[in-house]
Amino acid sequence: MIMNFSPAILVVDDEDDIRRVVALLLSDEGYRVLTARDGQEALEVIAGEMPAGILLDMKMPRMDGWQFAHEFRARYGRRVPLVVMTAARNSGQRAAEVEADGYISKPFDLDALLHTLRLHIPAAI
Amino acid sequence: MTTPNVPVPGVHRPAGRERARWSIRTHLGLLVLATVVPAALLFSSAVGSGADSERQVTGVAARALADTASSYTEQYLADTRSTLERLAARPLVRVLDPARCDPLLAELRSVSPYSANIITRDREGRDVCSGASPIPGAVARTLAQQPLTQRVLREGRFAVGTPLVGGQGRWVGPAAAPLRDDAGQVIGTVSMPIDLAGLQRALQGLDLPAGARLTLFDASGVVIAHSGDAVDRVGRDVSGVEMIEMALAESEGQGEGTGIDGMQLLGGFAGVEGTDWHVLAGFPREPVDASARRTLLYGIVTGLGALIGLVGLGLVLSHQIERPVRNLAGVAASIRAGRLDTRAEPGGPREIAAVAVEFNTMLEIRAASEHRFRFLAEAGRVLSSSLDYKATLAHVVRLAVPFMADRCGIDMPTPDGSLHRVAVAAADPAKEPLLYEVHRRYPPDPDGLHPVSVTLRTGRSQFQPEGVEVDYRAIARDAEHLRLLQALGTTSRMTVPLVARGTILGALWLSASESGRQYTSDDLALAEELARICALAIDNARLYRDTEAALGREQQARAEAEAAGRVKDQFLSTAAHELKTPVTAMKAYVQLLQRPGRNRGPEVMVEALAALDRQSDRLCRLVEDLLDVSRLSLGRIELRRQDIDLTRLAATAVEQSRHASGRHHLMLVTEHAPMVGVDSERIAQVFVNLLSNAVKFSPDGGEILTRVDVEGGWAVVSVQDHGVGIPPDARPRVFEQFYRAHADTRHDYGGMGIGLHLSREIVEHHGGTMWFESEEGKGSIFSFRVPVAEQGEAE
Repeated sequence: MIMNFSPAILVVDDEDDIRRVVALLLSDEGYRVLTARDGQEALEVIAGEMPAGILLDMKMPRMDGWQFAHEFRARYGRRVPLVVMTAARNSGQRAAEVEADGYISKPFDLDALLHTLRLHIPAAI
Repeated sequence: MTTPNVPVPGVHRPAGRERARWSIRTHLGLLVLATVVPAALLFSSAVGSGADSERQVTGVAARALADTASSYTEQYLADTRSTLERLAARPLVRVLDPARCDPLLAELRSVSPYSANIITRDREGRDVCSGASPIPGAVARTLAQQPLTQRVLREGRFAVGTPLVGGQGRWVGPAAAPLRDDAGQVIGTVSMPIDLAGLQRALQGLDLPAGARLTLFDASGVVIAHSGDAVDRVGRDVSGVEMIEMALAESEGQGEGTGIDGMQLLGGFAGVEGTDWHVLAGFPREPVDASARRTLLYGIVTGLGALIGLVGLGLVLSHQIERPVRNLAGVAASIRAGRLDTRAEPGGPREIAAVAVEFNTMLEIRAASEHRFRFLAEAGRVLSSSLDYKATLAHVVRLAVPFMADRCGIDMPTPDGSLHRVAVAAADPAKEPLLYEVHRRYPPDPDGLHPVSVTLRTGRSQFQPEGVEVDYRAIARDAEHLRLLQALGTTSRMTVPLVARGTILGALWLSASESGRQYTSDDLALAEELARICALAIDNARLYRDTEAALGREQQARAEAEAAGRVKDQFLSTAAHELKTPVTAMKAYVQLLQRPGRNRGPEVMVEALAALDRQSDRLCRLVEDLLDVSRLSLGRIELRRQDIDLTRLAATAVEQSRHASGRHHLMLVTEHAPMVGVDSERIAQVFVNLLSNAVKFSPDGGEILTRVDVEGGWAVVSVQDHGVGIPPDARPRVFEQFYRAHADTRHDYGGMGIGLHLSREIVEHHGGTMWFESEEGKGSIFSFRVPVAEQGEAE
């Protein structure tokens, strides 16, 4: 199956509904989707499969986005682009703090999310 | 006396143009000079003029004497003259006929005993008739040889000729008168000798003043007669003698010079009418000069005496004045150098002694004012040494005793209206307890006549220099009070207000008893000054205290406001974030549904709608929570109480929360069903908050146990999780509004920090309490209790 070789996007968010709706959207767009509800779980997922890109919420229990980003960069370098999703007022600054490749403020339009994602993550096929 | 040349402030000393001033001694010296020099000049001129005038007087006397002698001589000659003139008028004489001489001579003999010497001569000088026997060779004499005849013929008047020794060896002067014819023409002379010895005798017979001398001499300088001289100089030629030459030259006048006897004379001279004779009268100069010299000598001696006396007097005066003045100057210099214990000796003249007394008075006044100044300075130093004004005031009243008073104290009203005796000092320390005792037992009536009360009421000093005893009766409350007051024995008293910035802070009183002093207005002024600095110190201390307190309060308020502001900012930021989360989910689902879906089954629609429902509930709840926060802050939580089974409420809440988490195992454990009178929605809200917290703070999942128990009259609910627990430092703030544990860490559990606060408020509004136990890493138990309704348990 071609689908099996399509790039996987890791969605990290503690909000179940947001994680779910983003996963639905990306599946519609032909991405494979991996999910994690915090940074710690994300690291576990990555240990299994390196995604082509990561959509990362910042405010999470256990391990937040900031901590995860640093951990991730430390372990795997800058190979995989990180896109930060945050409801914080100064989202751009937050993204820069974790050396993210891109960011999108919550609440977001799905088109904008896809646009941002495609800007940083190489085309699926 | 040497005095250090210290610059004294306030003493003006002109630097450059200092004029050299004369000393008293110089002034007196000048006074003596000014007295003696004119006096000496006056005296010498008086002496000189005295000598001069004596000479003058002597000269005038000589002149008068000369005149007298002259007229005497004239009279003496006048007999001869009239005889001759009478003869000349006789016709027989005028005939001038030698042949008729005899009848003439006979007639002449009848006229004068001297007729024998009468001779008539014609114009040629020939003897016509001669009374004597014819003189041999007389006829032969020519006119040129007879100057007298020649002169009488020429002048036509009586004249006396050069004396000569006559026929009988007698010293005679030939005298001749003119003979005139009927036409009045001089035709000859008639002459006869004058007995000059008689004249000499006559002159010597004059009563001459002592030392006076007379000399009668003719134009050729031959002495005719003289007196006042032992030596006979008659007939001698004395021409060339100074005075004689002077008389010959001037004929009348007076002068000084050598007389015929070689003596210095003061003389006068005069001519003798009808002759070429002169009279010189003279007084020896020597006695006059001696008298003048004597006078001069007396003058000099007297003047010198006066000079010495004056100088001596000046010296004595200068000593008498200068010494006390120097003494005073020395005292003034000591005062300038600050030695106020110096005293001037009140010696010397009365005026200077008075100045010395004034000096001493001034010194005493200055010393007193110096003492007062030092006292005030010391009081000021004490008062400024500390802000503990009660201690400093106690020190100050000690300073005032015994300098100003036998007893001194300060009374200040307290906020409760009573009067506090802040400080007391007595010269006799044994009396201090008595002072406190009187004040304690008989505190002054604020509306009474006690001077302290009056001072505090009016703000004016009460000055009682004397007669204090009398006032006791007005003040004393009873016999005991009077006895105590009298035991104090105050005789003079001052009570002055302590006023700062228009406020009467208290009263300072000073009283005298055993010292017997009586206060003066100066003392009152000093007391008021002391009160002023005391009041200032009190006011300063109070201001400082108030300012400190105000500053502290303000600082605290500002810190609190800042903290509240920070909390509010933080809360707003958190609330926005919390609100955005459901909105994000809802918006995403809506947009997803709007997109043309691929590979999407109808179950997605169901799922989306359920999520939308869930998230809108959540949004709603958040808004409610926010409103509750607002209500809480305004104290407006209204409870709609109804009796309800608390276990049922708990069960519903646990059931609802079970949907929220798949990872947690929620359990309700209870053996009771307590009925409580509560607002069920609010208590449900508490359950939801506690349960959602339990879920939120146990991210690894696990059991969440809810219990409902009954203890005493309380229904007790607890919710236990096995999550992260609460760090010890966060525990005291758990129930604080907007406080979120872990918010500052990298483990953000979300939430607005209002759930627990709100829950506790709700519980407390129900009359209950809320608490928790927690162990970090092992979980927390949050519990609350509300009173059980009266119906008891609903089994």
